[in-house]
Amino acid sequence: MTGDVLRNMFIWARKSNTDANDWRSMLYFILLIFLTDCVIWYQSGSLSDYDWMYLVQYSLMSFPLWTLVSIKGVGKEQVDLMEMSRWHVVDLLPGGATPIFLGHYLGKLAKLWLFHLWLIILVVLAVAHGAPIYIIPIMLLNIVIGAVNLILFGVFTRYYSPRGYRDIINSIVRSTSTLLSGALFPIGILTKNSVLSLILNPFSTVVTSPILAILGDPNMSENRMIHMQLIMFMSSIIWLFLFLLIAIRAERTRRYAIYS
Amino acid sequence: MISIQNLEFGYKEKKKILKRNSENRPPILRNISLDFQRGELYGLVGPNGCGKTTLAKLIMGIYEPSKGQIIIDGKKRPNLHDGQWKRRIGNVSGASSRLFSTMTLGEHVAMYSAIYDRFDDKWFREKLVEFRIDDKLKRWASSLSFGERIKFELALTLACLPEILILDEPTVGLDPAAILQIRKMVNNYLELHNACGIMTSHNLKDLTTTCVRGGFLQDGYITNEYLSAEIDADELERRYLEVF
Repeated sequence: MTGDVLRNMFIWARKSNTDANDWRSMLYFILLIFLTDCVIWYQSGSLSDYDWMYLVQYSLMSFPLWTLVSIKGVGKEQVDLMEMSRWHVVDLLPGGATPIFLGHYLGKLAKLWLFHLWLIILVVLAVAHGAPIYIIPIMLLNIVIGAVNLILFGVFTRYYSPRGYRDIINSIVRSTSTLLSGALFPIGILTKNSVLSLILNPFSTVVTSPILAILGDPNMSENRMIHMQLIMFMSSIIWLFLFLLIAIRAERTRRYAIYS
Repeated sequence: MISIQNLEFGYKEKKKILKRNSENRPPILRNISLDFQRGELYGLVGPNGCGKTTLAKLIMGIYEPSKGQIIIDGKKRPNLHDGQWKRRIGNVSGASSRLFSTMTLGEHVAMYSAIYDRFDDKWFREKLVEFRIDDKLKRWASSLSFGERIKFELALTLACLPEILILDEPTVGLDPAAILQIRKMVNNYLELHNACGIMTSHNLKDLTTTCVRGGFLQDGYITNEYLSAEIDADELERRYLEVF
């Protein structure tokens, strides 16, 4: 857990000064995540039984790189709308700003070669580790939905934050939500019941789903694994709709407040 | 097609803590009645802060009038919750960009063509070539010059085939050749698509060459209405200086 906090602090501190749309920044992130993981794992000693290959694989899955791309874009436009009084930009567009930005950045992400590479690596790893083929599409969907949840959570908290505290609240929210997406974090931390813990955590599927599918749990049967993946899928879909509704409502409240 | 009847509007003071209702400021627009027919733009002349942009926002539905009403095709103007209504409006403002800074021009085109099902891509590409910005589609919106931005926004807006045009100082900051191109493009569009709306500009020649008629917005009232066929820009300027 301390490792996750430290890693997220490094990443977000660095992120604020770089452009995540730039592929060099993305490579930098990969290297940074890998190196911080190495340091944290080495220092903790708690996972010393695992070999370095596990560390590499965990690093690949432990942080949803591509959320950096999407969060960055959505956040910038959102701040533009709110701080620069540019609501007229979206006032006349059919549809709200939230679905437009979300659709745009997800579309942008879908074209990103680093994202393709990352997905390919995940699929290859899953196959190499003998994960059942039918779990792979569910795993990929879970990653996408979990990351959209991360984005939406950031979006509506930004809308609801008081003006003077927006940056600090946003920073805390991002750190907390990415921390909650940490693979080893969510299971059993909210409740002792691991299934309930997954359901209560809207972000867990980003990392937990691939970790379970690829690296697996030696004590978990195949049926149990499918059961867990499906639970994650359904709960994260429900969270997604809930967050989308809240984000659209938050945008509308913020947007029409200046006209009343 | 657009009928403004006895319209009045005043901004509200910012809500104060512990006060339940916000206070109204004196009306900026008073008893305005105007009718625009299809195929014509109405030119609004007036000094800064007289309420031209406010009137434009009232027509679009961004604000609601305090008194009076706006009738579109015989029905009360819908509000901005109506997606179909928003598809009918084309708004370009010289003063403030409607482009997203984190998107490229090409991404804007993709987004608009996805949102507006009537988007005329062929016409749009022709205009980009005419304005010599066809090679800039991969550039970020924030990297465009002021003039390039207005040309791109205007072409993008008209390509969505709006029925109601709200042009708020669309030629500000443009070079003389570009101003001529813009006037020609707007005139062709009005003729071809039978659109209507309003145009504000401090370049009075824009108003006499593009709008069929117009009027001065003075102390919240429309005064000194004119027909562009009977007046040239010099005469309009003379009248303007007399009034303001």
